[in-house]
Amino acid sequence: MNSTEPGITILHRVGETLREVMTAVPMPLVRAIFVGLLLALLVWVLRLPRERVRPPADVPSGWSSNLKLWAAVALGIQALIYLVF
Amino acid sequence: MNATGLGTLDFLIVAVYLLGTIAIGLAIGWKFETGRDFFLAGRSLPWWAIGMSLVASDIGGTDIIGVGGAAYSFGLSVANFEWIGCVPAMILAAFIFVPVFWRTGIYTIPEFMERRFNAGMRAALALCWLVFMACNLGIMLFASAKMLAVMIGGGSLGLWIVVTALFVGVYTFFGGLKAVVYTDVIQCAVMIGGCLLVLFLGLRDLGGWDGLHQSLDALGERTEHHTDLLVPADRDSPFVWPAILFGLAMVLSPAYWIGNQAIVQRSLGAKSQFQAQAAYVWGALLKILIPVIIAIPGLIAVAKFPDLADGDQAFPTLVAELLPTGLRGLFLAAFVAALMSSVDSYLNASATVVTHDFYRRYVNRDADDHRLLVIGRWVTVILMAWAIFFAFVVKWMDESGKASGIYAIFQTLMAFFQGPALAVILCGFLWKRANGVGALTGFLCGVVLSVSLFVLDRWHESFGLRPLFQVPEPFLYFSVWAFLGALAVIVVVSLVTRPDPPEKTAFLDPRSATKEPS
Repeated sequence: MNSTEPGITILHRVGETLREVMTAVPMPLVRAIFVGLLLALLVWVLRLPRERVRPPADVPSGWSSNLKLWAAVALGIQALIYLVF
Repeated sequence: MNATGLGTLDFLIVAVYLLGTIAIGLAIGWKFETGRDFFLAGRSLPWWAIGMSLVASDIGGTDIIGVGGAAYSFGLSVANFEWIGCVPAMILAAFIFVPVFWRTGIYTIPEFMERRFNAGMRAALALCWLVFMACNLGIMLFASAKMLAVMIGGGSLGLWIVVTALFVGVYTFFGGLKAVVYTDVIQCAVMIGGCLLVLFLGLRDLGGWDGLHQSLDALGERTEHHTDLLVPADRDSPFVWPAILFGLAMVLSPAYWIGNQAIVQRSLGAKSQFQAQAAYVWGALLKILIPVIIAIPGLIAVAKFPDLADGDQAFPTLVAELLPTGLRGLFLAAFVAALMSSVDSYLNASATVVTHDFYRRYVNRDADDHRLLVIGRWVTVILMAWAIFFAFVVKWMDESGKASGIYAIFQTLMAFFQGPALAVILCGFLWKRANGVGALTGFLCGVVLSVSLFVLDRWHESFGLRPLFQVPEPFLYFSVWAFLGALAVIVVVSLVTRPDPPEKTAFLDPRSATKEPS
């Protein structure tokens, strides 16, 4: 190695390897990962039990008080955005 | 001449807006009698106000200009910070973390750390947050003053620093969290309205979305990927997808929405646990709109003015070009609203940390609620004075050419401890075996690791090394490694040391839910 050339450490090697792996991932797969994570979160939200997404039973509430619905809307729009752009 | 071509009517609109904000703050704070009123709004805040406040606090005046500028230079990928960098973390916070925070009746996140772990963990995190927030207040004041001077086209930087500080300081001093949240509601509405106006007129001018696309296509290779959200890993951009996915979405964003005192404090002031959760979900829905009204105008600016010297000129140039007199005032009000909503949040949050995590914890444990109100207000004054002083220090550094990269350094400063703090919070919630010794050791090791990576990368030539990271300002990567390092140390140290007693985790059980916090 040339003595004036900047040195590298084990951290540089780890970083380079990770960068090469990330660069090799095709962009359609990257998109699928982003959308997949959002959909996985959406499924988790939809499976939440009633007591975690609604006001206590003694508080009168309608369908719009179901947080599961609004969280699903937010995540659904997000998944759509990452699918399109 | 100012950058936005403001006239008398515009200044009148801004003046009415500012006086209205002060009046609201004074009206709210007049009736306060206790520290609980001042720091947690007497736990009276409704979900819709908290949700709007969350969004307003997150988007500062510098963000409106900066995000528009980044969209001008790098394209739509900057929108990741508001979409994947906010919405999933806010949803997770709403259903997992916020209910526990509200139920335990805490005032600060460091206070939660003592309940779950120990006093050392509380002090370490409180100190990190206090140093960051106090310095950031000065940075925000300086950055805001600099932009105000450009937008208004007059007045010295020093004048704008003091004027901004006094406006924000007065209503935060009197009204505490409640004034901050309700003025944020107005600020959020004005900010969204002002930016929507720029978006609507800009798109109309270009012939709609298709016209924008055609204009960008006509610019050739430079804007070829400007409408792509996801950027390949080998591009020369700070927003490449691995940084966005691993650094932003998985570490910095959850750390921010779950662990940032200035953000979480609003939900602690909610009327009920359900309202605290609903606020985060409402905030997530609003967040979807933000890139549309801030980043897309940056794209419109590329299409209309492709030869601007600096991306940060994109939004002011659009405003001067598109909006008539009167409406320019509305946009300036939106800009002022955005900068005030961030400064007031950090001011109130840092006063809460000083009062509860230092004064009440170490100086006067028996302080009654009225005493805490008095202390909280005095601390607000002292912090505001400090922020003005620090803003002048930054101004001096800027003028003498010593402030190069100072904003990026403070972004990086937050990344130093946000990753380790997230590791501690996650272990605290999800792993009962995690103990205080492990949490504190892991947190400190994580901070040391991220600082070491920063030093090795920034001053690599002094060590005779190549740069560690290939992207400019790699703070997203520091946070990932600091998070992973802290997580590993917490697990190992917790497993080799004695477990904490069961009461350290009993309050995490959802069955401990009550209508009123303990």
